[in-house]
Amino acid sequence: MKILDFDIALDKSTKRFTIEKNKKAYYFQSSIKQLFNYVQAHSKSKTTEEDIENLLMQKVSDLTEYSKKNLRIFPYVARFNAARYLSEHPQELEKVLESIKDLPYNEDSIEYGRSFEEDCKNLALEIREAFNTTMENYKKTNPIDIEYMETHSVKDLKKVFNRMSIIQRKNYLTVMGYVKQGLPAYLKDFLPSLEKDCKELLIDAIRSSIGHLNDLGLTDNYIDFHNKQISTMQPQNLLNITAEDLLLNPKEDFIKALKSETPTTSLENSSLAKFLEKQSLENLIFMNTFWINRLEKETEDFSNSIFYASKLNLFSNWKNGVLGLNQYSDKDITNLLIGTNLLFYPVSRFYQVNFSKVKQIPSSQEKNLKRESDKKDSFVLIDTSDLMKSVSKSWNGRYEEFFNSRFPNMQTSLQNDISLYLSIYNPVFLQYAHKDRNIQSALIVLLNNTKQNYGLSSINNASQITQKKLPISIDTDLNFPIRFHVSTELLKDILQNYNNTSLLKLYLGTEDFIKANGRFATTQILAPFSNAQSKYLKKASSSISKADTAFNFIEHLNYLRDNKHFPEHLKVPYVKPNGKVEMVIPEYYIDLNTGEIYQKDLKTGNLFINSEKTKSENSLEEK
Amino acid sequence: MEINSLDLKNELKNKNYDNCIFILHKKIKELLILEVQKYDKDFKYSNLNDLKNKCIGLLNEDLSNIAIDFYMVSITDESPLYELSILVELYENLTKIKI
Repeated sequence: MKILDFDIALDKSTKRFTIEKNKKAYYFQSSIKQLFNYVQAHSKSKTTEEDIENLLMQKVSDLTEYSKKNLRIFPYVARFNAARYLSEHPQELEKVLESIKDLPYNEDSIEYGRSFEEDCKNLALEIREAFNTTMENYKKTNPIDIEYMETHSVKDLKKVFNRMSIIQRKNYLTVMGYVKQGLPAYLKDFLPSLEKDCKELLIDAIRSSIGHLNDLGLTDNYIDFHNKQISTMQPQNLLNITAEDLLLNPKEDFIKALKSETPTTSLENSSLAKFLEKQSLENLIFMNTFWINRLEKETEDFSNSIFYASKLNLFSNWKNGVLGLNQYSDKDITNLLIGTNLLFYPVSRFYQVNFSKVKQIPSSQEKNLKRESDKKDSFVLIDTSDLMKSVSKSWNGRYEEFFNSRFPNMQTSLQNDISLYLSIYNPVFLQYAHKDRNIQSALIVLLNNTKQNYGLSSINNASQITQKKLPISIDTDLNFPIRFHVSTELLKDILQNYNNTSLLKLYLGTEDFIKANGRFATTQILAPFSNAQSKYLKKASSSISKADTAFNFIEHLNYLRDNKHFPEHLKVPYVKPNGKVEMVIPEYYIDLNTGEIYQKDLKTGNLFINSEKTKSENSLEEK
Repeated sequence: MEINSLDLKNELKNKNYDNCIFILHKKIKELLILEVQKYDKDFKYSNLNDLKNKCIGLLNEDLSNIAIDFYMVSITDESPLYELSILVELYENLTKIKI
């Protein structure tokens, strides 16, 4: 195993942490304080350093399990997406089946998420195999005579059916459907169980994300921040309406359920699960993307902070309830960040090589499409001894030298640090191995939905399409638009692979969520609207004046509450063939390769370049 | 398959780091795809994660490491200058051409 030369690693690490060093130092301080608070909240009296280490390593272990489970979601969503499409488009299913007629089924080659075409082929291969196996099993074990079914008309079969008991009839009809209509009937029957699998995985993941964020003490901060934002944005002078009703209320059922979720809450005892079970699959996918995104960022901070605190031996202070950061200067902190980041280079390569071998969906012994993740785990323990030996040999004491010269009181051992780094960063590297997979889940279910208000928000300048990440917003029926930043590269790949285009929809109404300070309100908590919020929005929407600065905001929230009320201010005039003018919802698209903005012609359905909008959107000041 | 280094230098001079990153990123990706296609002529690019995994499976350790470092710098939030320095290094290692 080749290891990056120490001097090159040091050069990279130095560049990584000397640029924007003040920002890094700020984040360092706040992350360490957050970890300190976590330890204080979970420690009993007379806590020892060992207790603190055990507490934190247990959390890391839990987050690792969480990250492992989440890797499975995307392939299941991609598979369900293909299954639903093929079930709704039997002619396409026929075409795909024809294209794979000479391809044997090989479960090792099934990999979802590369492109929609491949997802459909993989699904067809799986469903064909499952169908054939099912029919063989029926032939072997079922009292129903399949050969008779195959060779006789439906009229003859009905005569047999009429002689059966009610219990026998259901099974008979199912098999008859498969024999007479073939694989499409089988796929249609299978779809609900595929959806159920996806929903179970998603509910489990959302609960885990929220449970961990609660455990880390963060959801209260999100609720407070959300309410502060809303307070500055809502109308102040509406008669007979209590402005507080729009805020997230800790006494409200969903918020209580959200706050009561812990990483160990069982499904039966989870009141959050009961709320989530009522959500559509799409909403669950969006919620999962949102919450995973939140926890991923927090996990990285958490892992970083444990490693830094451990290197600085802060736990000896923490057992006495003292933070102990005062003795370190900004220079010390920068040195610490540079030094600990040295391990990032060999370890990230090591992890990526090993994770590239992990299979997406665990194999299923029954050769059917049922979820088997609880029975089989495709993850294996990785032998790290080769990595340890190679780094020690290559760096030959330089790592220890780096720390000893800058932190004379620190006991540094490369072997110990690698071992600790591997454990602490396990959940982070698991996330890196499949970065943005959950965002992909959300995008692939959106792409064919032209009705939903989603897409690129905040077009700021002409060079935006060359930016590394782009902001995406989605309107659902939850309390706030879902927002996340997606890698531009990933967006282009998904559009190409799943829609054969470089055009991405533009989100309508980004500006509705600009706060008084000119910044965009961020989504802190995703929740169904409470009764109080719904009542407030209904009343506010009918009584607010257009001149009120909160008008657009209230109209947009009211649309989220009830998707039938699309905000009038986002509509455009359209001259109908009879000459009458009607206000309609426009559809705009941006070409991620050229930056040009297209508009859909409502008469023909064709797209045309909207030069005016291209120019005006690209010249908006950055907010 | 070389990039137009004059264009790149102009962008650097004007501190258009996002554009420099964009140009280099595109080129490194194209070069890695070509390397994979030497061993798997039917390989079709679908996403960076898949490209990285293909490089690990098919290419030698040096090229695999370039693909991994390229993937990592693409998915992590880095300052543009740091990202640019990494991409320049990766491009130079891939092509043996100094920018």
